[in-house]
Amino acid sequence: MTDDNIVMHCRESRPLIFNDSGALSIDFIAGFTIFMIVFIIVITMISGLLIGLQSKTIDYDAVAYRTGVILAEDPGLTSGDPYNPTRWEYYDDEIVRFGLASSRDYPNILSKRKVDSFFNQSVPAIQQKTMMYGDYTYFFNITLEKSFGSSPMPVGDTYPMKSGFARRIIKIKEPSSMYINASDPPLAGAGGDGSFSVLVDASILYDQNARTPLVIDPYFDGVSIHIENIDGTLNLSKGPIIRLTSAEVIGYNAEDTIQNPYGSIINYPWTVQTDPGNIKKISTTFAPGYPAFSSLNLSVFPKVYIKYIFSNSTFGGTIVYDQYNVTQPLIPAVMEVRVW
Amino acid sequence: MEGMNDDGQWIILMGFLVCIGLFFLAVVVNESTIVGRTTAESVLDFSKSDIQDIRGQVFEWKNLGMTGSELANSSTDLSRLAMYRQGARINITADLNKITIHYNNGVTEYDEKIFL
Amino acid sequence: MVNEAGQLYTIEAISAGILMLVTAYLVLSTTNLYTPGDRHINDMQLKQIGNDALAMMDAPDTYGGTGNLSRYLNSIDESEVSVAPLYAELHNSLAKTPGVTPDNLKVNGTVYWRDPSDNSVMSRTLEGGDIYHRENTVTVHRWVLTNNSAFGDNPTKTVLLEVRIWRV
Repeated sequence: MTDDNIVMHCRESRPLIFNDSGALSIDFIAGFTIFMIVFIIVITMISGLLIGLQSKTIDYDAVAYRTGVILAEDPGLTSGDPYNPTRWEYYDDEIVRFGLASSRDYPNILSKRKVDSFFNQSVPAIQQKTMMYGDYTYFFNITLEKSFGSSPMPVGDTYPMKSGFARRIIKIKEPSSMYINASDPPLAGAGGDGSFSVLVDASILYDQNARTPLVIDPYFDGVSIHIENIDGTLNLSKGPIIRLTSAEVIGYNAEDTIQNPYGSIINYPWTVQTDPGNIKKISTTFAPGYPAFSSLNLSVFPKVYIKYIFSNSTFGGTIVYDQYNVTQPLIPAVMEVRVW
Repeated sequence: MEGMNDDGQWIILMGFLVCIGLFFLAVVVNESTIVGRTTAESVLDFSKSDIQDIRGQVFEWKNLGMTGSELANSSTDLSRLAMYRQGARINITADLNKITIHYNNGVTEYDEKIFL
Repeated sequence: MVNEAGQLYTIEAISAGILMLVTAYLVLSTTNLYTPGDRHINDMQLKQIGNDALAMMDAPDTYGGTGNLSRYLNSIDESEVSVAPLYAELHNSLAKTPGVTPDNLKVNGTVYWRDPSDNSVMSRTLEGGDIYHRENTVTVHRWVLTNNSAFGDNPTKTVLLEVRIWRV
């Protein structure tokens, strides 16, 4: 037998020519080509399966729940004031984290100023500081709807049908305001010289032991006094027309011995008379940050008297601005968070 | 078996391996749908509202000025009812200057001292 | 002239290709990319809402006062009428649209209290709720301070109000 015979024999049963000439049979090329084409088609189809799959987009309900908890139960954080780190509503550019609750101890009771400030923020600011604790930007829509009247306040984009959802039931605490009826005691029939005062006493208001959601903070929440029914007949003693001659704020120390006048408040914007000629109602509103209520001033002069002097009247007495004499409405509302 | 021609078995083997890889991917994608369930389960397991409720009750007792035997009675109410209905141990003790809260429901434990 | 020589690789390749295509088809048709409406997620949302509703009913409106829940429990006596406001407010809070009573959530409340004489636990279902027929429920609870003598002899006591909520 010659070598040629052996090679011939091999060529019949083993199509792959076992030499180093580098030539492949057409059958192999055809088969391999078919395999590669089908392989590429399948891989292209399967890679489309995984495109939309990342861990941040699977569970929007969890992101919505987390955002709902942070907004409704956390008071937020700012780096602008180390003594009052949760008062972020007064620092626009140093907000670390948004949170709408008025205090950590009372979840679901939101502060009105925080709510107003939050719903005026821009969408990118909210994205950064509320729910994006990472590098993925979620779309969101947060809506607050009060239970009675008033239309919902949304912030964010319009939400699609399929989105993560969380709803919280909350109450919004409005700032305190005091309504004094001039026809009722202690103003009426006081037999005084026409001056009466409203006392803001820091030792009562800043009682650290009282853990209640209805805390009054005159510096951060402001003080609002409304005197109504001033032209009631009970006080017309010396003449027909009662006039407000002066209104001023004076600070006193705890023993009422040393005083520190803060000045007159009779001009706009502090004290607004509805009709200077024949007054019926006077409203005085101290915006947050009024210097008489700052912690520095209150530590030395804790009693702040807001003194009104009327001519032609017999008003008198002092009314204390505390939780029993003011109204702090708690407005029920619903907050919905959607994330997609 | 020496007559059997096993050329080309590599191609079918590669095809088979690709199929096994596809099944693995299918399992991965399928299990991603369960992610939502375990997140919700862990939220249900953590007794956040229980702890907030107990703290709110203690603050309410303080604001109403409850002391001494009244506080002890309410605290015993809490312990007994929590053990009976929820299987949780709640222990609230009041000293002169602080109230101590201890809560343990087997999954979560919470201790706090509130200074008066 | 036509024989089966030269078909080995082609047949193998075609069979491998068919195998991969069939597998790809099976994989694509069985996986589900969207998170299904799983019961745990709905339960979690319902539980959060229930806890919120009870907590808001218990929040005091005035300084030094107690919330609505204490008032409702204080006024419970043998007649049914005094518990209706509790259920009404609860339904109101749970509504999808505030102020519109929903018809897809049903509630049922029970009060548990401790009898101080023998330390046993007594219970009473608050009438006026929906009848519970072993549906799949979520239970939320709230501790309430009350002075109703129907719940034991102590002047002030803490009772446990458990509310079952279920969807229909």
